[in-house]
Amino acid sequence: MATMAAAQGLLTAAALGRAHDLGAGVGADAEDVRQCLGGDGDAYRRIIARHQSMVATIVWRFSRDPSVHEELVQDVFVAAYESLPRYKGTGALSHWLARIATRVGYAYWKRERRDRRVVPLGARDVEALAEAPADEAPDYAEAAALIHRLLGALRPRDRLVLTLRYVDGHSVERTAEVTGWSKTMVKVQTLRARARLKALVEAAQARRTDEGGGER
Amino acid sequence: MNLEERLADLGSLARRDPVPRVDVVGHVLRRLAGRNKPPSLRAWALVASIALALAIPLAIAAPMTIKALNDPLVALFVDASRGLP
Repeated sequence: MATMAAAQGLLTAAALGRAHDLGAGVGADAEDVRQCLGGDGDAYRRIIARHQSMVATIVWRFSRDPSVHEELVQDVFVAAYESLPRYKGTGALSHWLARIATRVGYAYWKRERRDRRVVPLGARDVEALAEAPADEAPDYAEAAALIHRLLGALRPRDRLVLTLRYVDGHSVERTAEVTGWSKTMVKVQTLRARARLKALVEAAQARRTDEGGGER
Repeated sequence: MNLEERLADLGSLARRDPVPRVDVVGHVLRRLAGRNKPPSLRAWALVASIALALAIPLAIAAPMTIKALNDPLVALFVDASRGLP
């Protein structure tokens, strides 16, 4: 409980004013946010417990390394706690957390790119992409890993829009909501990202053909 | 191969990929407790850093100012300005 009491330190008296605005909200989330802003540390524990699997699902698209994944889930809840006084309570808390999770994941991709930890598209990935999907007993993890590697060859911005559209299956509207971009921007970015991915795949295919020709 | 269709196929399979279960409640609360200092301490730290930032240039400028005030040339200008209407 000492930990909880210390964790409450961030929520200052200024945030208490916002707590009254949230009073009209319904549901456990609104109540817990209100209590959290009012200084009840256990309320944030309940919020994390309720939403961590949803956040984990979103963040799994950003890193398939289990240790990085867990670290990113923690980062989302730390960032959310710091932003909680600015949460207006007009939309669902899960949507608000989803936006934070996307921002945290995107920042991770940018760090990964900056540190040159991105693996270029390999011949085996291109081969797997060209193969027709198996009709019986598809391997979901393998498919997820393949699309993760394919999109990983793109720049973070392109990777984000294609991940949201194809892996999460979001509409243009939902993608715009999550990213904070306009709908037009999402459409344009999707087209450009797809064109860049196509160029990368074709280049990898050409390399594979050249290497195959050289061996003969 | 139609890239868009293939991406859509892979994406629909990937959505059914099982996500590792996580329980981050304890970790998050510990991290938050470690980061947060009491607000009063933070406010004092801010005041102290601002005061220090102001004090350093003043400390550098003070000897030069005192020296300039004692300079006979400056005294001449001060006397001359007193004589102005």
